[in-house]
Amino acid sequence: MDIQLKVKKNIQFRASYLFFILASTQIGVGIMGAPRYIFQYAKQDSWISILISFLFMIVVMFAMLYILRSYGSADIFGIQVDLFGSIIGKILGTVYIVYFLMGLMTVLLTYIEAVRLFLYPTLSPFVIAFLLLSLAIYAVYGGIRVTVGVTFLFFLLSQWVLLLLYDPVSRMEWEHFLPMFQTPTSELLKGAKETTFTLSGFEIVFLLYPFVHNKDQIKKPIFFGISFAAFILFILTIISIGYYSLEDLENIEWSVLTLFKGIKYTFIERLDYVVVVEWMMVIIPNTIMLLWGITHGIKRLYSIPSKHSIFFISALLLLASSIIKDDAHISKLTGTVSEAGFWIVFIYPLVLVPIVWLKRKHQKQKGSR
Amino acid sequence: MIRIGIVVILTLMLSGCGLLNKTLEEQGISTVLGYDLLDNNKIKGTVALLQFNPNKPQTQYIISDTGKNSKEIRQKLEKKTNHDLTSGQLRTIMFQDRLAQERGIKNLLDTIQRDNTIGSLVYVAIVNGSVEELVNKSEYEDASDIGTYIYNMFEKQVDKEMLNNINIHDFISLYYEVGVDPTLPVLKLDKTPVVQSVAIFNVDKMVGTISTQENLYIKLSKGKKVFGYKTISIPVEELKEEEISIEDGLESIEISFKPTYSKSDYKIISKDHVVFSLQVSIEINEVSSTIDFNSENTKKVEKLISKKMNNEFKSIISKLQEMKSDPFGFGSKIKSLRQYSKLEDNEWYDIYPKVLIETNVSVKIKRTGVLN
Repeated sequence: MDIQLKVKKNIQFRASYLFFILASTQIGVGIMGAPRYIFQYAKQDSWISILISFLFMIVVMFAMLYILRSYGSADIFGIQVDLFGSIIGKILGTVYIVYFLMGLMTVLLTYIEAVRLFLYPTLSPFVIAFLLLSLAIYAVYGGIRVTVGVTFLFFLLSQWVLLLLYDPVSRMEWEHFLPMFQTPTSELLKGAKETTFTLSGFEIVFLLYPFVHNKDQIKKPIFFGISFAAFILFILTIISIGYYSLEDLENIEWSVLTLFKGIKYTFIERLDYVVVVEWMMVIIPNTIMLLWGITHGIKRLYSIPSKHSIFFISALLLLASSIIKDDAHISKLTGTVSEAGFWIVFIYPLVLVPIVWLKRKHQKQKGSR
Repeated sequence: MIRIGIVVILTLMLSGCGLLNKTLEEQGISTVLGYDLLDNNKIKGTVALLQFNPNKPQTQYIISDTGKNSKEIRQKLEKKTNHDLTSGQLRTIMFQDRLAQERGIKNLLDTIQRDNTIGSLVYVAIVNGSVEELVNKSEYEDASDIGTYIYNMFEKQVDKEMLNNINIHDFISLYYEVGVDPTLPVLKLDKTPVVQSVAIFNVDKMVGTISTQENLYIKLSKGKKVFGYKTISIPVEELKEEEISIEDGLESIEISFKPTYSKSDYKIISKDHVVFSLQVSIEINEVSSTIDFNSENTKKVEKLISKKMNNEFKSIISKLQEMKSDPFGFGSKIKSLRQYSKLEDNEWYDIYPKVLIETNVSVKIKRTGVLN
């Protein structure tokens, strides 16, 4: 397997698209219930937790860029093989793919759960999963440029939902934030850890890097993408704390979706229904990006063409979505993915940095001799 | 060609998603839900449904049955109608006062909040007397049904008059918040449902009522924009003391005004000493005798109104302290200070009646209408 991934000019995309890719893969299903999980630990100081994880994300981002830049045009699969040898490298690559697969599974299952809870209690999960996956397969079939294009379009199409937040904002109670700075640091850090499920998604850069046309301008779009996602989580958490009373928030499962329950116009009575449907626009880029990542990874590691593996993966996902139906199972899966995400997305790149650095130093010494 | 084929096939398949064929005629759309407590400790639920047959004179029909909890009642109600009971258009939920006093309403509201088809903007109210009777016998002017009537009336009352926000979200979130208690309007049947007073709660149990005039102070303290009118009477002696000249032969004069702006300020000196000041801007609308509102007299009248309102305010607070209910949210204000941030509900209700609450109302006359 080649360590460097040579990508033809005509299937590369410009670095600025990374903003849209990161913003939309980071904001997904997690955010629908995220404020509650952060609040569990960090209470009225939850916003500090988000700032902490934002700063941490930036550190991780620099680590990732350092690793990628040392290689020129490689992705994580190639880098791992180079660092740890073919066998261990491939095992680690498989871990990445399994993580993406589990992530995709939670995205689908959580969204299906929301649709069934809010809209169609009797609709079979299989049908929803089938419809979503057929769209995703169709997009991934078009190749990386279509995948990126769809992500870009759906990002633009889903931003209007934020405007609806004017209503909960107008009902906020600022006193809920008082007294500030009460939560002990350990709890703040626990709260920050709870954000990982929501904010993970930027690890896709590890896969996309070789496909970026102008690699020298990659820093800005990544930075803004991460900031955008963190900012959205930040304001949604602030609004949730202000809108719900403190003990209430701990009990509400879909706190962000419930925010939209209070809006009413003469021509439309219930906007939370519209928001649940509109959330599909947020889910689809997620699904597409992850599905692309999985099939691309399989192709890189085992040389199985995407065209074949995509159907196998989709069948697996369909099966999972029809088997796992209970609330408890879904939240257990989400918990596992979020725990794994913390180590794979946030910690692992930091571990890789010294190894890459040593390797480079070693190579230079060899060269000078 | 193949692509078009795929699109056509997928579109056809989409029609299979219409799993919930909700035909309007088959729906029993409930607009009002009411609960009464019976003597045998069971609860009686009453639902008003919309009726769509244009040939029949009435636009609603009402069914009720008894049960131990709301879902049991619902199941029994389903047996009494050939329509599907749906609650997406539910406007108002009403509780008999006895039920609110003895049982509390949190449990019944909890199932409603759990139900995703019900929005957050459903109004909650207390009925003085039987809810069933109110729903059955009430007239509703030109509204299509009793649910719409009550909803429109509450909407108007909340926006323009004296009632606080009373929808289900407000109630539940105040219920959960430490150191604030919710309030709800009390309706009484008098041909139509009439807002009689405001129910005061201790957590979720109704502990008493205050008049809508008294409720004005709660609304002022929350700093909401639109308020109703208030009339106060000032004895002639007090006016004379201030050297304001009026016509002879009167015992007191009535001044009606409308608050246009209010700002509240809590100064927490300690856990059991709070100074609460309220600044209110008012617009004079009606005076029963002519007073010359020059700048000197305006100051004096302001002083008199402030004093009067301050006394009223004090008596309301001591009344609420006796009832162990804190709709002003003194508890939450105290809790927002660092040293008291561990304050819990139980502890707060123990100390609340003994807390020294000083009030300080200052009124400013902004306008006196087009007359001087």
